[in-house]
Amino acid sequence: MTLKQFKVIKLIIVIILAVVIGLAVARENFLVPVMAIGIAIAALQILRGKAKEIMADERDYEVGGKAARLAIRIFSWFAIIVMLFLYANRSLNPSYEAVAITLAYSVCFLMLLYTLIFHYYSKFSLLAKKKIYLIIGFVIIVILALAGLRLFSGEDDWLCQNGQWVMHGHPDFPAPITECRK
Amino acid sequence: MKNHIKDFRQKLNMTQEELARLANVRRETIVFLEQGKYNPSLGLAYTVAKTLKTSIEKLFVFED
Repeated sequence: MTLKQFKVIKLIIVIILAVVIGLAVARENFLVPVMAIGIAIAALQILRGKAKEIMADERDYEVGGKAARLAIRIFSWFAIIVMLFLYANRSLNPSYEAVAITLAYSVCFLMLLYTLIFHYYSKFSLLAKKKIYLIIGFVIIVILALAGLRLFSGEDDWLCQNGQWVMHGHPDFPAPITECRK
Repeated sequence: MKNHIKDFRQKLNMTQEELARLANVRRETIVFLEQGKYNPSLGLAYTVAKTLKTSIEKLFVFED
């Protein structure tokens, strides 16, 4: 398979994937897009292996790195400006706050991911693979523990105080219908 | 960084496509290299020099 043929097939797969995802999301189906993405990635990997020509070389990786850094910077600044605008105007529409918070967390996650990968390539790539897996495992456990603490700590919950259900934090569910006896 | 890749390549009657294939890079990379718009890695510089039957010192002009 030539590079040109691979690119044409890749374009067709991307178009089909976009149509499938669009239809599935419109019908509120989550499983189909995930499966479609998985199948598309697998198909592209198989086809890439069959292409004889060189897909990318060191110059492409260098250009890719520069493009990725610039894209991250542009996205972060854009998201922060939009987030501040939406958060400042949250009184106009209640959904603005949710969108602003989602944007803020997205930027934070992107920055964290970039920092971790950057440190991996700048320092950890010299370490033995076993040590790297241990460090990654430790980081995952810490993240899961923090997420678990946040989820199960009752931070956003309804508390029973003086015979009444009192909102604690911002629970996204209504007060319990059971009687409060405290 | 200036270089003499084009001269050495033409001496060997080699096309950019052939050099790219032998150096394991895309033809566009050879174009950028010849125009001095891309500084190759040490590995690629060595491979190109070896393919063109010369040395890195003769192929690339290092400027302070």
